[in-house]
Amino acid sequence: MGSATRSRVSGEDGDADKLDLAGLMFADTIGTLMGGLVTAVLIWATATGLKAALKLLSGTALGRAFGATELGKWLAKNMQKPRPESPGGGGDGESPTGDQAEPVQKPEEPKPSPEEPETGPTAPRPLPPALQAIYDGLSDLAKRQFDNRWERIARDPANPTSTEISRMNAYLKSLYDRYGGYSAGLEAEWNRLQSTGQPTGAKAGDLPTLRTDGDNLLKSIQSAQSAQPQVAGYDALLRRVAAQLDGPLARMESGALEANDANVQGVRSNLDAIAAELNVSQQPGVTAVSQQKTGNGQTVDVDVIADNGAKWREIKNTRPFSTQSADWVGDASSQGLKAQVEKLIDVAAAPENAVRGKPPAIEIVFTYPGAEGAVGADVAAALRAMSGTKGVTITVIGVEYTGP
Amino acid sequence: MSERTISAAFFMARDGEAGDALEAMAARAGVTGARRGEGSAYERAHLRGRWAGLGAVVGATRLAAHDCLQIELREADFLAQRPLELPPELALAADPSLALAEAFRDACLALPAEAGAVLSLPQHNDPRAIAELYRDVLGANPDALVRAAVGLLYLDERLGRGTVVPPGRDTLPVPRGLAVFAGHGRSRWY
Repeated sequence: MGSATRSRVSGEDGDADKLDLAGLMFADTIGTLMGGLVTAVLIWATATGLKAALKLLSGTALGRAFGATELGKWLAKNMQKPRPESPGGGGDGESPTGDQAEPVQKPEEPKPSPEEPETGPTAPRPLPPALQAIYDGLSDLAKRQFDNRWERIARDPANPTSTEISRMNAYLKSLYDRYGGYSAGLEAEWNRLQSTGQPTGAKAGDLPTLRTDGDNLLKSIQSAQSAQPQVAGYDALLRRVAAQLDGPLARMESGALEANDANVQGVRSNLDAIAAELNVSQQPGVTAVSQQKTGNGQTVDVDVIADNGAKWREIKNTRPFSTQSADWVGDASSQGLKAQVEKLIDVAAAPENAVRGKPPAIEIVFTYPGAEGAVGADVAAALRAMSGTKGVTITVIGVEYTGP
Repeated sequence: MSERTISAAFFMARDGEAGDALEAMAARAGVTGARRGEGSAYERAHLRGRWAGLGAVVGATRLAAHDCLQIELREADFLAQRPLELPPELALAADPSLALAEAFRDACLALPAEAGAVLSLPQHNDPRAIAELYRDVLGANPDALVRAAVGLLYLDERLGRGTVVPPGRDTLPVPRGLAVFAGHGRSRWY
């Protein structure tokens, strides 16, 4: 019955998390069912053999839940003790009710071989110590999420491999690092998947403004395209805006994606960057936007092209950084602005990109709207120092930041 | 800025031993003409080649329990495949980026990857976003991975088992596992 019920609910709602949520909503029903479930477990365990049954259950959420009941504790306690020598003895453990109940008859089991040490306890096997210590300190909701994840990570939760234990530990550590606590992290993971069909998240209130801004940006690009039909490349800006509006913004609006700070800011940053490119594209002399240029075996995207190709403008709409940062020097995972500009110079210097016999001049336009400035003064100086390389001039445009 | 990229990221469970060399992983993923760069730390850590018919930069990162192979593509190359006039109900077979989807699927199977993602939006192809995605891979949380709605998500047979694809999401046929797009029709990649 339990299996059939679970299959049906899984089929309708999709997963164990939702199954658990359904369980919370119908707690009364579940309470009744649990009584039947415990009875069913006992009947099954009697038929299977208690030791074998508990071993099968061990490591599972059901096993842990069953082990946590008074009956489970009583069984665990008594199963660990040697059987009484005296015939007819009922054992020295107490039943959950205080009655001296007859222990469930243990069926014959093969004895462990000499090479196979007796594992002793046959109650629901606890988690590995490090995980158990974390588990014991969790809230009830966090324990649910822990169980859900552990049962997916470990192929056999009763006998996890060292790799699986390491993986669970790494998962928990990542939650701790992200949320500042195990319970907080696991609860956040749980809550994040509860869909209501309505916008959720701390930034849900920002969505209407974001939608309006996005729609207005689309209209602005279309207007610019109509006003300057000779300027190529507005389609590329429109595609980038459409991707944000049709994708993550629409999903946040429908509640399919949480409207948290990262998701809202992700859309906002992209729209701002596109708006910055649009603004620069509307200056006099612009002939194209979002163009791909090749030369000397390399390819770059140029945000704005002006004066029939004699000027290439790069728009940088990020928080100011210094020449000491990876944003400038790069690292193994990112190239850094210095290398990007060197590449731009290489491509600009290629003969096929020359205009009136000269390579295009490069303007780096920093548009970040922060009060402190748009470009680190040292970065601006370093860029100017690159001017003249391979005959390409570099100009820096933007408010310089000279603070710490 | 001129270096806007999207990427395909593949998460391969590492079972104790050291992972494969970058060149070997790239070859299995179907990258052709791969050459290791010279000069900066970034160039030395990456290969340049072609994948899914596009220029690609390939790197790898060792994560807590997985190796992550990442193939970066230029966003402009991808967007150029997707004109604004595409019909809203664009069939998968007519999708101009079908070659990318197939290359991704084949790479997931060949590596093999436990999970993979085409990160087709700039905010998804960001180290912090990839770290968030990896937490869900690490936690074997297919529902969270599906809900993240990356451009195209692959889950292997075990990770994808029992996962229900939400309405309004297209799928890519795969011989094993599950591959689900972010959306439907012409917006399936977002």
